[in-house]
Amino acid sequence: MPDSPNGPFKAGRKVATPAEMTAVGLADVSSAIPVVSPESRLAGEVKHLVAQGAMAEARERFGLIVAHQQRRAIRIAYHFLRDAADADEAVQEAFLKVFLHIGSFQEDLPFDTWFTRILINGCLDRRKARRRRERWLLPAQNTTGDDQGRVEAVASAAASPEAMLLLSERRAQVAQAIERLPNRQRTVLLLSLYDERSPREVSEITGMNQSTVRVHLFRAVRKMRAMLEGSRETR
Amino acid sequence: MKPAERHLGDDQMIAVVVGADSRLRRPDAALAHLETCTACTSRYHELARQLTDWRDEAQAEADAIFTPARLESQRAQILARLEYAGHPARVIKFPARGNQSLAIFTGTQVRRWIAAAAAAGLIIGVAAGRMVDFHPAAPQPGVRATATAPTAAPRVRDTERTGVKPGTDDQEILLNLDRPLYLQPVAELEALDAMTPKPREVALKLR
Repeated sequence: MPDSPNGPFKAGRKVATPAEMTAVGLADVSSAIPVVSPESRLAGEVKHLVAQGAMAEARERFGLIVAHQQRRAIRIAYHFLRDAADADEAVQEAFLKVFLHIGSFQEDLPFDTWFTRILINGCLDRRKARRRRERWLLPAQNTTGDDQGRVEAVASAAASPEAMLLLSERRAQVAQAIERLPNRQRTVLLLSLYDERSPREVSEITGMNQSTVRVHLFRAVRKMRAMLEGSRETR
Repeated sequence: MKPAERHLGDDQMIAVVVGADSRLRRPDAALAHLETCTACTSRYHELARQLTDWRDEAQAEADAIFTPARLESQRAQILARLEYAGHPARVIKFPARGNQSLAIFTGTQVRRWIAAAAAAGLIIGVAAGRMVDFHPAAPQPGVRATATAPTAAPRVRDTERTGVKPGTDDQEILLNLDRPLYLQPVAELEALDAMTPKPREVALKLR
C-alpha cells in the first residue's frame, strides 16, 4: 500500500487506528502546542516599528513577510478568481491592507490566519464585482493568452502532446467544477485542499465552526466528483 | 455479511477522508472496517490520491503563471505602494476660470438664475406697462372712464374722446384706438400716415 510521508490529504482529524491512517496525514492538529510562526513574529516587529514611526524599517521587515506568504497567497487568489491579473491585484491589496492595519494585529494569534481572512474577503468582493460587470459586458477569458501559453509550456516540457492535452482538459474540468460550487463550499475546499489547512484553521479563517467546515468540505468533494465523473461520461 | 462489515459507500468514504464524522452513522465502525477490508482501503487511497492530484495540478498551474520573476516584480510593487500608503492624495485644483464658469452650471445655481431672470422680466414688464399706457380709455368693468389718465406720449388721447364704454368688444376698442389719429392728426405721424396705404385704397386696387 502506498505510504506517503506527507500524506495524500490532510483533514486534521484524530485517528487512533492503523499506521496507514496516520501515514496519510490524518493527524489532529487542534491539540498541538501552538508555535509562533516566523510570520507572526515578524508581524509583531512590524507593528512595533510602525507604532514607533520607523516606517522604512517596518516596510523592510514587512517585505520578508511578503516573501514568505506571497506564493501561497497567489495560489489561493488565482484559484478563487481564475484570472491572473485579478489574483495579482487581490494579493497586492491584501498585503496593503495588512500593513495599513498592522496596529490591530493580535500577536497571540497566527498571522497567516488573519492575512488569509483578509485575502479571502478581498477575493469574494472581487468575484461579486465581476459578476455585476458580467451582467452588462461580455465575459473575458479566464486566463490571458500569455498566461495560458506559460501553463501549456510547462506542461509540454515533460509530456507528450496527448498527455498535455489530457492534462489541460482535466485542469479545465476541475477549475470549472470548482467554479460551479457554492461560495462557502468553494472557500472551504480551496483552503482545505489547495492550501492544506486543517478544519480548525479553516474555521478560524472563515468564522464557521469546525463541524460545519467538515460538512461543507464533504459536500464540495462529493459534488466535484459527481461533476467530474459526469463530464467524463459525456465525452 | 454483518452490517458492520458492509463495504463503505462513496459518501462514507468521502466522509472518512475529509473527517466529516457527522456524515457517518458509526465513525468508529467505519474506521474499524477499513482496517480489515483491503478493497475499501484501496478505494480510500484512490480517493485521497485523487484529491492530492487536484491539489498538485492546481499548484502547478498557478506556479507556471506566477514565476519567481513575476513574484519578485509583485513584491517590488507592493513595497512601492507601501511607501505611499497612508499618505493623503495630493489635490490638484482645476484652473480658476474653468472653476468659475463651471460653478454657474450647478443644479441649484441654475434654478436660482432662472428664478432671478423671471422676476426681472416680470418687473421690467410691469414697469414698462406702467410707463407706456396702451389703453388710455380702457376702463375697469362697470366703471366709466371719465377722468383723464395722465400719459407721457402726446398722441395718446383722452379716454373721454374715445368714448369707450364698458362692455365694448375688442374690435371696437381697436377701432377706437385709431380714431384719435384720424380726428386729431399728430404732426409727427402725418408723413408716415401719408405713406401708409389705407384699407379702402388697397381694396380698390385689388378690384
